[in-house]
This record gives sequence, structure tokens and C-alpha cells, in this order.
Amino acid sequence: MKSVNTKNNAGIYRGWLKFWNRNWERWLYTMHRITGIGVGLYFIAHIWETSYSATAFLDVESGGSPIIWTNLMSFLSNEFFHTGLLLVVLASVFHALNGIRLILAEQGILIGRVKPPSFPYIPASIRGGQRYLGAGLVALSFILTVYGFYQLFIIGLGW
Amino acid sequence: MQRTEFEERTENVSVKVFRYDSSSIKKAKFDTFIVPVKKGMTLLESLLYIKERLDPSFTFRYSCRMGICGSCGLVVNGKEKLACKTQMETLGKSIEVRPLNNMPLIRDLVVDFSSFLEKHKKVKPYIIREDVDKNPDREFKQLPEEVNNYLIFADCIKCGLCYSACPTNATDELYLGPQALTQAYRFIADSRDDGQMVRMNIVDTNHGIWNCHFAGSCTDVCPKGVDPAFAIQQLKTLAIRKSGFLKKKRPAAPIDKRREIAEHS
Repeated sequence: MKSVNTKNNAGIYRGWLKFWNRNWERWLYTMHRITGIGVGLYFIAHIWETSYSATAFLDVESGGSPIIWTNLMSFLSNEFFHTGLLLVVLASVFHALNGIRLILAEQGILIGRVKPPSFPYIPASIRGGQRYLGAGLVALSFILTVYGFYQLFIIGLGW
Repeated sequence: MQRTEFEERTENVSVKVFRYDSSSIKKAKFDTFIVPVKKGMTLLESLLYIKERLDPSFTFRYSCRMGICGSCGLVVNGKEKLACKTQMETLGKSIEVRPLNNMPLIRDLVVDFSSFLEKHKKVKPYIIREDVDKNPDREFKQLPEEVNNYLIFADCIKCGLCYSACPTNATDELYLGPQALTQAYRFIADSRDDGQMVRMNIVDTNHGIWNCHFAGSCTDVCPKGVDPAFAIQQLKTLAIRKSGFLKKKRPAAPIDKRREIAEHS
């Protein structure tokens, strides 16, 4: 029998990931989480990969081994890995720009002003300028990703 | 007897409700009921129809039926709503009703508000000032604009919708939650109050304001437009700048001259 979560916590799935019937800021929140975790994992892999190949390259005792570095670069230089890099570009740009939106909100900027309650109770914070800023930064993230596509595929792979 | 047009127009809606009974073998399940829905019928009326005509063991909480008491909060099709304020015709032909999230189950749609209310108490939701004992009969006067600084936050009915919708509460049981943090700000923004430092020490923590990441769902689901997301961001601003709340406000309650004259004459 499936055990019952009597504490009834929504957890990661219902709490973080089930956001499609929620407000726009909740979408940005979930995307911020996903992109943050994604970029964090990429960062760890990147440090490991670069330190491994760079150590070999800079190994003075063996006279340096540029072959390991060159082999690794040629292994990574294809459509599959560049598509991955493109996702990293999209995630990084979105995460950084949305972070600026959150910092502004924490400073009380673009979240509207407090108003006396009156029906139909339209709240200030999720109708304020930060909502439009959120839409703008999503658009800007895609524009910068297009530039990333140009650098990675047109320039990098010679498409 | 001739029926009116209003009475004739009914539509069958499938209402799938969460059932929980700690004493039964299969503790949690969903039951589906067919409810004839008339125009103007609320979700609360549909739940009452189920209890009165289909399954008397079905349990849920309600009281005022007019969006004031905050008892009938539920998760309807994945979003928190007050059952008494929700029109059935806005929900479609198939409805899923669950209890509020992030609070322990008691039975069916009833959850335990104890931890929620404990967190509310923790932020000291009352006026704190030292000169009350010295002037027990004084009025605490305010200008209309000073009242407007906190009035919207004083509309909280403690229904728990924000607490259920909050993604931080979903994974952090110690998080104070949008309701308690909003009430902390409600009293900090009150010109009569001098307990800002006390409350800031409670909310300026990892399980306080800094665990809010501005998902805004609390504000989105609030049936009274209280705007907890705004209040929490304001608390962060106060915590960052460490100003504003330090130099407070009006001095002790002003002396009521007319009353003094009347008393001495």
C-alpha cells in the first residue's frame, strides 16, 4: 500500500515543479530554480573537465601534453555538445537577469505601492513593473541565446 | 407546478474529492461524485450536496459562507481557493478537490492549522510599546494615511491559502510562511507600534524573510488582496537598509486635552 504523507507537504513536485496553473512570477521562480541547478551542475562538470585537461597540458615534468587538451576540444566540438552549451547560455543569461529582478524587488523597486483595500482587491506586487521586467528579461534571454547560437554554430562549427 | 428557467438549468459535474481516514485500511484515496450544478452554485454548496445526499461521512470545514471566516480553504484543480467564494461554473466539468498543502491531514479535507497559528503567534501580532502601562486610558491616534500603510495587511482572515500555495513552505517546515511574515510587517508598518526590532530579530533569519524567493503565489491566491509578497519584500528592504524602522514614528500617545480638562473640572 502506498504510504500516506500525513504531513501533507507539497514537496518538490507539487510545490516547485507543478506551476502551470500558477501566476507568472511562479513560472519565473521555477525557471530560476531549474536554471540555477542546471548551471551549478554544469559549473562542477566544467571545473572538473578543464582542471583535468589543463593539468595534463601544464604538466612540466612530462614536457606538457597539448594532445589531451586538443583531443578533448575536438571531442567536444560538435552539434551535440554545442547544443548543450547553448542551453547553458540560455540558463545563465536568464538566471542572471532574473536575479537582478529579484534584487530590485527586495529593494522595494517595481513592486508597486501599498493601497487601501478595495474590491476586487488587485494586489500591487504581482501587477507592478517587475511583471513587465520579467517578460522583458525572458525576451532578452532568448535574444542573447540567438547571439550564442551565432557564436557557437556559425562561427564555432562553421555552419 | 411549473418550474422556472433557473431551476431547470442544471449540469452534471464530476467532483473528485480527496478522502483520508487514519483509522481505515486504505487511508488515502479519491472519491468521485456527480453533482447537479445550477447557475450561481458555489463549490461549498456542491460539497454540502455531497455530504447531505451522497456520503454523510465526507468531512470538510466551513462556517460563514461569505469569504470572511477563512474556514473553507481548499486546493481546487491545483490552485488554492475559498470554497464559498468559488463559482462552480468557473471550474469546468471535472473538478479535483484536495486539502490545503503543507499542513497535517486530520480527515478528508480538514487539516491541522496548529503549526500555522503557532508561526502567526511567533511574530508577536499585536501592538508593542512601552508607554501603554503609563497611559492606560490614552488613545493611540493615527492619521488616515498612517492607517493606509497597514490596513490592507490587517485584512488577513488566516485562511491558510498563502501558506499552502507557497513553494518554500512545500519543502521547509520551519519557514515562517507568508501569513506570519505579512503580519510582522503589518505591525511594523503601524505608526502606533514600537516592536520593530523585536520582530525583525524573528523574521530576519534563514527560515524567515530570506527564504522567500518572490514566487508571488501567496499574493495570487489571497482572497482578500492582502499581498504577502509585497510585505515580505518590504521586510527585506528594511533588513537590508537597517533604517526606517530604527527611527520611529510617533511618540507616546498624545494627551487628550479635552478629556483632561473634563476630568479636572
